Amino acid sequence: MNIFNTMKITASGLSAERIRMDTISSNLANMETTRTESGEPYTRKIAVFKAEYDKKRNLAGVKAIAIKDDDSGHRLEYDPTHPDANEEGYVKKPNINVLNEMADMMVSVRSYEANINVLDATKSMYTKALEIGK
Amino acid sequence: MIKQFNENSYNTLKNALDISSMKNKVIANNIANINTENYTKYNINFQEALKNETKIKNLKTTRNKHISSNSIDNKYIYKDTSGDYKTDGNNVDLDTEKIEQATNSLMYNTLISRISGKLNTIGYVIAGGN
Repeated sequence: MNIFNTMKITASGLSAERIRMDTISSNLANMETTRTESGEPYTRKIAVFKAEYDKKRNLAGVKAIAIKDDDSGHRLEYDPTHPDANEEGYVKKPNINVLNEMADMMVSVRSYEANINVLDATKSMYTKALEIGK
Repeated sequence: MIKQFNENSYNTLKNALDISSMKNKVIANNIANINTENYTKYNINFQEALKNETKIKNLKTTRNKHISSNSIDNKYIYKDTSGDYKTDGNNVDLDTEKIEQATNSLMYNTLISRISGKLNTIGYVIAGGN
């Protein structure tokens, strides 16, 4: 067990989950955003993870390589009083379901905790190894 | 007895301890600057430093009361541009730094336990095997 390589893999997991939390917070903050720079309503963002292989061993860390738009389109909400409503009175709103985002957030938090547990276990294994022969 | 403290393996352990302490300072510096704009994190090249610092370095002593010291050059500390830059131009990632800190302290504990082992052996010999 090379402790440094093991911990680097865990570190990559922690960083990737942080980025996922960023996308979730961006989605939740912009649930009702109808205007962005491109003129369209806000599009839901998804973080894309990729495995980064360690050349010598067949093990991989993870990296969040991109934050992509969810291209499932926008939902229409009937609200003729809204300034951005079209002629029929419908407003295009982001396709963000708060329950989905909360579920993603829980997965992200548990994943982060799981990585921390791996880290603690690795550290305690290593510390125990130091006690051999004491 | 002085020869015991100048032999190669003891010296390597001492140098590694110095490098490990320096790495701890570098990490603390990075964590302190986690929100500084346009700050690039620093890192230390542990293997290079250990390979090159194999000689004992002593300060020149002209009187027998002068204390010589060993210290590692700052040339092994470099600006680390790997990692993602945030919008404020800062590339320090808390998770990476904390994990570097954890591995560094484990390394430090290992080195300390090895040096203690060596010194205890000498102490054992001095005590006549008791």
